[in-house]
Amino acid sequence: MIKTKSFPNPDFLAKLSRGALLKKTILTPSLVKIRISDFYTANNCQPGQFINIKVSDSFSPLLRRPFSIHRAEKEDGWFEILYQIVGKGTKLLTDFKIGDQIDFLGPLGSGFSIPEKIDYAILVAGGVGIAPLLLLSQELWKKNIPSVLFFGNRSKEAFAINSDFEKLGAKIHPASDDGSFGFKGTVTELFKTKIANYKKNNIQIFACGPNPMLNNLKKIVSQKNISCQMSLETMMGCGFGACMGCNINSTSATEKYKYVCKDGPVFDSGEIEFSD
Amino acid sequence: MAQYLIQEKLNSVIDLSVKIGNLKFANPILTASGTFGSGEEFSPIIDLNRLGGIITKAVTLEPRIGNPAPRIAETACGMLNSIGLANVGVKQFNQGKLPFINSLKTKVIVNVAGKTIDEFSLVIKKIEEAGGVDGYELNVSCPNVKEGGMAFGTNSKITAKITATVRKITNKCLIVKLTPNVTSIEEIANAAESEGADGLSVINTLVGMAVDINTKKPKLATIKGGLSGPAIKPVAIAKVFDVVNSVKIPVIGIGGIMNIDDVLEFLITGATAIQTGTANFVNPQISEKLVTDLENYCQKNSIQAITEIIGSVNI
Repeated sequence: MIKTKSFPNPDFLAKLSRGALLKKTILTPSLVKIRISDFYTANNCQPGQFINIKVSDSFSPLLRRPFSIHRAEKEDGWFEILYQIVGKGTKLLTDFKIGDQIDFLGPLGSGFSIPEKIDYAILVAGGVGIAPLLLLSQELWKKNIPSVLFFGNRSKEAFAINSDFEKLGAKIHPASDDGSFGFKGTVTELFKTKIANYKKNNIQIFACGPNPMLNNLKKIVSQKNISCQMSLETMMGCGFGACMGCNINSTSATEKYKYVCKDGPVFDSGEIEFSD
Repeated sequence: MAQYLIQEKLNSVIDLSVKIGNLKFANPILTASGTFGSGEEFSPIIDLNRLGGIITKAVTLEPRIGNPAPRIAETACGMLNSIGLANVGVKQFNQGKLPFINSLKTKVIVNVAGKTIDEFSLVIKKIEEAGGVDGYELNVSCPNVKEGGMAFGTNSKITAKITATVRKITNKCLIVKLTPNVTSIEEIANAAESEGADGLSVINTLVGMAVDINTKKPKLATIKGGLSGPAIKPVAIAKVFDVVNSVKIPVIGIGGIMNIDDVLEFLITGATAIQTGTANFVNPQISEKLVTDLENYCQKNSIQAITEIIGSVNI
């Protein structure tokens, strides 16, 4: 169970920073990875945390855009984000050139927590939900915790980042909607066929993806009574708990809503409720 | 070091202070209700004591969970919100938030909302008993609640009654926050002034709506919400102008303030102070930066007191 935090939060380490764009990789026509120089964020971010980027100096778009931290290299002083181009904000971000300064607030939110004693970790990702799981894999690798990754995508192109996980020792079970890469079907269908192979007491599941996928996963893990941490995505106003715009339904009897930006974005699957 | 001392000396010469009722603010930069928590949320990243004042998130008699998701949507140069006055209620406010508020040097005004006039009174009575805050801003203009809120602030008789009732309970600075969603904002402003309000906050959000063209669903769960951000600034300037010309009490300008030019535009139009709202979400340090920018502006333009430019609009 992840402990939710309240303000003033001694762990609130976010800073308003500007970092140079060091590298831009167009993985597929809509999947982009960028590297940002910032020693502070690289050294203070936890897996599952995010940064909130001002993609334009103008008032349109007005609000910052949240992005999970994908990878961080502490000594080199940089971190990466991986994102899908879905609208105006992500398109503008992709127009940034090497050397341009990126205005961001972070690291924000409450990330994944790796339990002390687990034999292995199971990662489940849908599409660009893979983003925060690489930083998590880096941490699991350091802690010598073996991991498997269930990774679902619409088509085969997005599996281009598989090697980043393989380098960290992760065994990958791919699933694609069209069957062009690995299992034909959804990642949760694939996960369901394999879950019986794992002993439930010494594993931890970490997941990120679209809400319908996470909802399906929640149903599977709650049936099997397995612990699962999920990273959620919502529209956000501020990213640090001020606007109260990012509420989601909570299972708590005393608290109807939780807030994705400060209580999350990572929640225990038992804490939250999805609308079907 | 020498340069620092000179800077300090110059700053000390400039008088940025403004008064609303008997309450003196060190400078005219305040933060708008609902965009700044109780200040505590921003304490790790800004020096709250540099601000003229903080207006808290609305406090109601009972805790409110707020509206279902989605509560916000971005629009051109602005945003729609329908938070629904989510707050912990006055009891928890007094226990959990007041100690921090009382530790601040900056002035703290508590925004108060209620479903009935009695609720406004009870909330203020309970905070008065606990003690420590510098004033109250009556929220008779929230567009996102079924009862109270804007329904009160669009009716001059009810606005007058709430103001008169609350005036009897507290001698502290009493501000009424007005909605622009009325035929005549002057009429409501006059009603609040005549019943003893010390100042008026102008404006709360404009009722707005946005629809997703793919799903054909409204972008907010409550269908309509309140529009804020730079998109509404010209409306806010016009409303400040109208209210300033119809009352004698100070007006606090609110609406799309993003930078120092916007602050100056409101002050010149006649606002005695301003509140930053949506800008706090985009840049959590903006309010503190605006204090510095205002000091620099005055220095550069040889302005001794900020009151020199308030209402200097050249008509």
